[in-house]
Amino acid sequence: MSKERKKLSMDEVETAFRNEFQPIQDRFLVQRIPLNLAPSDKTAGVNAPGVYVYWNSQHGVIVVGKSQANSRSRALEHIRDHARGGTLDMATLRGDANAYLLLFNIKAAKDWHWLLGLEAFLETHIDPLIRAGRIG
Amino acid sequence: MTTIKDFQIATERFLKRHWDLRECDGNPPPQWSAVWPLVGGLPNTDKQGCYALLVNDGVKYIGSGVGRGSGRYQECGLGARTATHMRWDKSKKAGLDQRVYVMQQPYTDVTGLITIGFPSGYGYLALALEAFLIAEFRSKGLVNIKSPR
Repeated sequence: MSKERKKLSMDEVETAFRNEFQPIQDRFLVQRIPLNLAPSDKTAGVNAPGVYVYWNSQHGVIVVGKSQANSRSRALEHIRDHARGGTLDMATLRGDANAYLLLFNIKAAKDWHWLLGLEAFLETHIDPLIRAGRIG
Repeated sequence: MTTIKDFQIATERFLKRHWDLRECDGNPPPQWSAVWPLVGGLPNTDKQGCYALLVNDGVKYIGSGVGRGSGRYQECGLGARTATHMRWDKSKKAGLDQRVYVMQQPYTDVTGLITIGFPSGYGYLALALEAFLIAEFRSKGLVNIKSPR
């Protein structure tokens, strides 16, 4: 029998990050952006290397990913490309007022190696609806 | 050329600089294994972690094994990952009936491996260490190429 998936809140996702990465959490800028505002968001630090988490109220954590160039831009490619998981077509999240992007962007390029580690940690600890094919 | 000693020193620096080891459930800091000469059991085969392919004393490539595993083989990343680089040579046997392995293309010049295994639940650290070491030594003989995505 498969284990029932636990739908975490955004607070629980952020707490999981802060608990595990407490010694180095200050190296990350953590932001929550409503998905319908993300395409035009110009906030400082948004367009930076980082790990992204898609979340909405129906599914909880949808997908985890990372970009070593621009996490916001990379995350939005899932919608453009109709990324799928199970019955969900991520393009249907466009305009969802209850969907958010959580970005964990690094503040300094020297910390880029933590992106792979944080992505793997979140992939295995916050139970996304769409799981990565491989880790790392 | 990057040596095993270079890797050991950089790894100690990584662990000291980036992680408060007291937070790792009291586990001692992981260390690179002795050189495995492609004979017998791979060190840390049952753990998630990093491995380095060696040509004599030089490091040619670093990789990581952090797969989820399945069934009774949860978090057994290193054994499965390194197995993709080599095959069991059934025509040869070493002492005590140990298996002998041969490397596959493009690593046929590799003479041995070292591994570092992380405690259960900390496999993600292996990915950060791998990226850190690639950044440190990419210009010094490593053949790794990581996607910039």
